Amino acid sequence: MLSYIARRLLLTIPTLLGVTFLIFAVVRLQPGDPALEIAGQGATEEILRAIRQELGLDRPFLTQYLDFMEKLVRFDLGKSLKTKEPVAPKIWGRFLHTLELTLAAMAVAILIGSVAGIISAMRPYSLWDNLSMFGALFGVSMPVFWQGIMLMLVFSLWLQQWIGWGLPATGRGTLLHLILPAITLGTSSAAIIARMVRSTMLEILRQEYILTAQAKGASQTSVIFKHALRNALIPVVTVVGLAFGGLLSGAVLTETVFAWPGIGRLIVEEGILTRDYPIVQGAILLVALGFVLVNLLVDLLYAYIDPRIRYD
Amino acid sequence: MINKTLAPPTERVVEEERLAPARGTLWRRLRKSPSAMLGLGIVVLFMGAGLLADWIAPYDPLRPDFGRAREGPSWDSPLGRDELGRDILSRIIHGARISLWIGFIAVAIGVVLGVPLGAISGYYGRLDIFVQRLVDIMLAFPGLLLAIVLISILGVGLSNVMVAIGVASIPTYARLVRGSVLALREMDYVSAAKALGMSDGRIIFRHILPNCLAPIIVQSTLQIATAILFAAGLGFLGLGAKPPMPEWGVMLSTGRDYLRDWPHIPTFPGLAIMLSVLGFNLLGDGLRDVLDPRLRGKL
Repeated sequence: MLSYIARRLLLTIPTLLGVTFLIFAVVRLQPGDPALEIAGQGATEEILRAIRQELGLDRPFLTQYLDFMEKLVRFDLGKSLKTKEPVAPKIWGRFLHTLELTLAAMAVAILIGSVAGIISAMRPYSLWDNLSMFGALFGVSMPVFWQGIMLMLVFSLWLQQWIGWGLPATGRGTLLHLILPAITLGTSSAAIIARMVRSTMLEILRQEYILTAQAKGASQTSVIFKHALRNALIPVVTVVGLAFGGLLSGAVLTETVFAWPGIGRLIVEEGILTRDYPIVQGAILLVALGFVLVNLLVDLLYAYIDPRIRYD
Repeated sequence: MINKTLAPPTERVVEEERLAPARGTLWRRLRKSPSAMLGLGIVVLFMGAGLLADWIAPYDPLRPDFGRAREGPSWDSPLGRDELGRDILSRIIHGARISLWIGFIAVAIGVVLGVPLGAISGYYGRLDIFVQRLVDIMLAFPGLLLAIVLISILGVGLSNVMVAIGVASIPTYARLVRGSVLALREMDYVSAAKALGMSDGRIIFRHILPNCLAPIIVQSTLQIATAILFAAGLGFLGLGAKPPMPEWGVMLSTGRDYLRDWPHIPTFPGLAIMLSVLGFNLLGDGLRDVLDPRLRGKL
């Protein structure tokens, strides 16, 4: 186990370095002169030179990268080109909001996904199974932003008209604000988890030890929950890791629909669309690092739960 | 292709005989699956709409008609009119062309770059570690975010969306093909080809890759669905197509301002996205069941 952890950790290092290099390069690959971008059209050569010097753009590429890395370990992500304030605190605050939304969505996904998957596997090819599997296909095919808008229409606007009370549709605040965005974001992952749980359960229910349990006279409930489910949840751990990536990228769209003050909206609205590169750079870096770490944890957890993994 | 036409007639006949039953079986087995046929039907419907948009769309998708702005569905305009009075059905039909075009181009980019990368990575052990780290780095940016990173380099716009989504799918293909190649590399017929003195390139492209075709086809079908979703998402965020282009994501994004009083404006473009994505997903699942029964039921 220890050697597996060590190997897995070592493999993460080049990935992390590569990610930082790519993010660093992104800003340097931008078409146009960043200095001109900051100073605006009509700036004199002298001003441009001063800005380049301040940003270190006049130094060799590799020196700039090392400088970037040195600042990074001190959590210095630079200053916003628009507000001139350090971007790190803002990015971190927004990231926590996104994490809150993502974890809530994950809870929705695991709950709905495993319940639907287990019931489907218990009665394969029944009406319920067909319905829930078709529902799962709808779930993965539905654009999150459209689903969000539709939920908003029904549970916020229409409910308000009918009974005079609707769920809050925009912003972040109470637990009620979390409901619609979390369901929106969690649906497609719920669908993936449902299909995974179903197929794994079906495979496991065919195993000999299940037959043994049934032969010994164990009840169907006990067979499902004590013998099958525990093993069926092993692959779900991997799916959850993958789903986390899907949730993080879906969060960009969900946040835009529900005006959730998260990192996705920060990247798009205050970063890319206004060309504030330090924000784009820092925020994407944080998301990528988070994703790499979650995958690392999932791999380790997987090896812990299923010892067969380590020997491959 | 050239090889086939230049081959002596006898060889060609043998090859066709060998392929024909396989193709027949594929279609026969696919036809038995109602969901795959439903998917195929939807895909054909949208492809037809996209190809024939100029002839079948009842109105000009771009011309506003302010007198009829925000009108609900009627016989004359089955899906209603948008905020500028443009016919929503006509815009959705023209939007099919844009979305499918993005889907196909993005998948083509992913296949052309990702498949050889995966094949080389799997075939040459020494390059494998390097390529896999590269793939790891790309996969560190989850889904849409990799496309967003690329957009931030390339700039906002529809053609950049195609490139970004295509490039973002390279790691998926590289991983998929690498896995197959790793297994196929050890096959006896590959050793035989080596013993006959064939070049590596010929072994990879003539003998190994044709045997990885099934997973590539399945992945590409599903990948078109993803590309359509991503493109619409980027359009919705304002990073892709721009108004007044009848792109589904853009239509949704501008239509959402009218949600309270005219919900038909954002509803139908979203339905179009969902239906087309569902079609490709159903077809992809069906193809997987037929081509690779071991994966039946898994995503």
